[in-house]
Amino acid sequence: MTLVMEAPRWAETLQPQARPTQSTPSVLASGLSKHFGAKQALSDLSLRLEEGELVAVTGPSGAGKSTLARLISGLEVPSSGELHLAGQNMRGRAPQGRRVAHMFESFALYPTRTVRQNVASPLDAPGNRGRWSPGEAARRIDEVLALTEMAALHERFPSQLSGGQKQRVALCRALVQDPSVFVLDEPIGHLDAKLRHRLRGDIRRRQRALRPGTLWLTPDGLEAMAVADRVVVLIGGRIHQVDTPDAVFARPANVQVARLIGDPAMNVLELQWLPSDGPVFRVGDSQPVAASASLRQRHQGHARQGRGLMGLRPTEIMVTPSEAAGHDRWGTDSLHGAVYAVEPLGKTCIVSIDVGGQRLRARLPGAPAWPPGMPVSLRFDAEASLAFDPDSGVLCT
Amino acid sequence: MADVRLQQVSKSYDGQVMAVESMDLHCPQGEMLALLGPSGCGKSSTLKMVAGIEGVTSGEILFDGVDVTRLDSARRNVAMVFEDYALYPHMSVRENIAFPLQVRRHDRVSIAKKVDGVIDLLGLGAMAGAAVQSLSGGAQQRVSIGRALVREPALVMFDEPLSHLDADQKVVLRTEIRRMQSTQGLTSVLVTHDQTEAMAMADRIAVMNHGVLQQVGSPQDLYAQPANRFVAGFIGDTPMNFLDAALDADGGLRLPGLMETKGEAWGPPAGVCQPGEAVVLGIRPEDIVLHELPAGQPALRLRAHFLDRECGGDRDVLRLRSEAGVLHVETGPASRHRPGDALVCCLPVAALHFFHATDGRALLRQGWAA
Repeated sequence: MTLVMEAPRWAETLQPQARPTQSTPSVLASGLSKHFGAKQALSDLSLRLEEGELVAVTGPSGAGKSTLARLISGLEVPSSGELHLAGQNMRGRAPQGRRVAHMFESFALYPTRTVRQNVASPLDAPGNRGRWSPGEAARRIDEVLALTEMAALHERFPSQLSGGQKQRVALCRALVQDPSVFVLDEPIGHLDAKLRHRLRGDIRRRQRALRPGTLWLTPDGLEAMAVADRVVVLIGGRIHQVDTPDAVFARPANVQVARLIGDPAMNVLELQWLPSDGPVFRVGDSQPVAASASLRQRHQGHARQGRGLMGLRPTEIMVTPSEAAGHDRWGTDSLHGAVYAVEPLGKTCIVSIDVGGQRLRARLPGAPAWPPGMPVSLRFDAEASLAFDPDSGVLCT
Repeated sequence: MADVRLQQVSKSYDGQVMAVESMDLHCPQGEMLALLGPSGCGKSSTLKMVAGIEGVTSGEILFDGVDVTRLDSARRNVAMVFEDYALYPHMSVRENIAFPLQVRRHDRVSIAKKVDGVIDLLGLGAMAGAAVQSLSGGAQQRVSIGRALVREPALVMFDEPLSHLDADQKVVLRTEIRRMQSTQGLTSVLVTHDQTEAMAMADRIAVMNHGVLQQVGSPQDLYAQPANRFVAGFIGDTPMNFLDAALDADGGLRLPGLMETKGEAWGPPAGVCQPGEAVVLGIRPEDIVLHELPAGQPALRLRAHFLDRECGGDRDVLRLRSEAGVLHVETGPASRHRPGDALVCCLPVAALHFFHATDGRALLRQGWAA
C-alpha cells in the first residue's frame, strides 16, 4: 500500500523549482512496521521522500515519529517492511553505513567537547574521514553555526548552554553533513518565536537547494505546514494523511487530523438532531436551535441515529455578547454559549466558549474584556463547516 | 498572597558577566507577571533569585514590603511549578496534592478540605485516585499546579509550565491557566521563552534581553507600543519587519522603492526625529495590505515582488523582496502568487513604528494619525 498522493494541479505555485521526475528517492519506505513486544509503534508505513524535498511528519507524542527516525538511521530494526535510502536497500546495514544525518530530540551532545568540536564530530567519523580538507570542513561548520546564530558561542561547552542553545548545536551537527537523507527530530521546538520563524524559513530554503531530502519531525502541526512541501500526519503509528499543507488544512482526512491542525485546531462539535417539525439540533445539553437549509443539507444526511460531528474553524466563528444586536446577518446559523476564557495574542485573541458542555475556540480581532461566564452568541456559515462520520470520524463533505 | 518587588537586583556568576543587571520589577498582589526573553536573557536567574533558590549579587527582594533577600525558599513560602512536573510517580493525584500539607503536619480534616478544594478548582475530580504516571502530560501539570496551590503560597512560580506538553495539550492547559488567573487572581510569576504563552496567560509581561529589563506592560501595550526594537521584534507571532529609512531635509521619509502618492512625500510628524536622521521603520506582517486602502487611510506604498510563501492554514505568510529589503506579509490562506510577481504593499501610516537607528529605542508615536 502506498499513501503517497499526487500533488494537486496548482502545486507548481508552491514548489517553484522543477524536480527531476525519474530521480532516486532519498527515502523509500514500504510497509514498514515496528513493534516493541506487544506494543505496535509503527504499522504498515509507506512513504517516498524525493531528492531536495522537505517532508514534515507531525503527530502527538507517542505517534511513532521518533521510531520512524530510528528505523531510518538504523538504530532500530523493522519488524517487517522494506527501507531504501538513495536507492539502496538498508536491510542488515549498520547505522554508520547508512549516511543518515540524524538530529536527536534528546540532543546527545558530547559534554567534554566544545560547541565547535561537537559540530565537527560527524565530519571526522570513519565514513567521512578525508572527505573534506580542513579548510572545507571549517567552512561547512561556519556556515551552520552562522545559520543558527551560534557562531559567538562556538567555544562554550554544552553545560554552559541553555536548552535552546543545545538544540541548535544538535541541529548544526546534522546540517553540517552531506548525507543521503537528513532526519531532524523536533529541530526547533525549544526556541523563541522570532528565531523559530527565521530558522524554519532559512532551513527550508537551504535544504531544498541540497540534493538529500529532509524529514522534519514535529508535534506542532503549524510548524509542519509552514516548513514542508508535503505533510505526513502520523497518529498511533499509522499514517492518517499525506498531502500538501494547504490540502491538510482545507480537508483534514478525519477528526483526529482536524483536531491536530490549525492555530488553534479545528473545533469538532457533537450534534444531536432532534425529531421535530423543522430541522432542529443541539450541541451537548444546550437549548435546541433551528438549522438553516444549508446546514441541514450539509450535515443531516451524514448523521447516524441523529448524531453528527461538525467541524468549525476558530476563524470562521463570529462571537458577540448575547444581548448585542447587529451581527444577525453574519453567517447562516447560530449557537449560544458562555465565555470560558479570553487569551489576548496581539492583533487577535482566542476566546474559549462552553456550548452545552462542549468547549470550542474562536479567534477574534482585538481582546474583548469579557469575563468568564458571560453569555455569548456564536454565528457561523454552514458552507464553512465540515461534516465527519460520527462513527468512523472520516471526513464526509 | 504577597505583593512582590525587586529593587536593583543584580546577579553575576563569575564576577564579570552580569546575568541580571539592576532589575526593578513589581508584581502586585493577584497578578500574573511573565518574564519573557530568549535563551540566556536572565529570566531563569531572576526566577531562582525570587524563589530563593539562588542568592542575589546585589539588590533587595521584598514580599509585602518585607525584605526576604536572605530568606530561603521555604521561608518565603514560594511554590514552584516545574516544566517536567516533578511529581511522585507512584502516588495518586490526591496523594501528590496532599503531600506538601502532610510534611507540614497539617491535621487530617484540614488536609482533606484543602485538597478537595484544589481538585475541584483544577477539574481533577474524575482522576483523583489515579496514579499520576497513568495521566497525560497536561493532566500531570495540572496536578503539579494543584500541589503548588494547596499550601496557600505567597507566590507561585511557573517555570516553562507548557514546554513539555504536546501542542494540543499546550493550548488546553494555557486556557486553563488563563481561566484560573482571571477567576482566582493568583500572585504568580511565569517564566517562558514563548511570547504566545506569555501573551495568552499573563496580566503583564516583563521582556528581558542580555540580563536587562526592556519593557514591562500588558500584552496589548507590548504589542501596540513596543519600547524598543528588541521588544517589537520579540512580541508577535510573525516577527515585525524592520526597514532602514532616513528623513530628508524637509522631514519627508526616504525609503528605497517608496512610491509617492500624487507627489506628496509623507514623513513622521515634526519632533519625532530630526531632518537628515537615519531611522528604522517597523511594521507588523499582519498590518501590511496588498490592496489599496480607502481614502482617508494614508499609507506608504512600496513596490515589491513575490519570493515564496509559508502556509499557516487560515493565513499565509508571504516573503516579498522590495528595494528596502525583504518583507514578510500576512494574507488570507492559499494565496496563488508566482515567484517574481510584482505586488504593491500598502503600509498604513497608523500602523508604522519608528526606532532610533543606533540604540533601537522607539521614537514617540504621540501626535500621529493612529
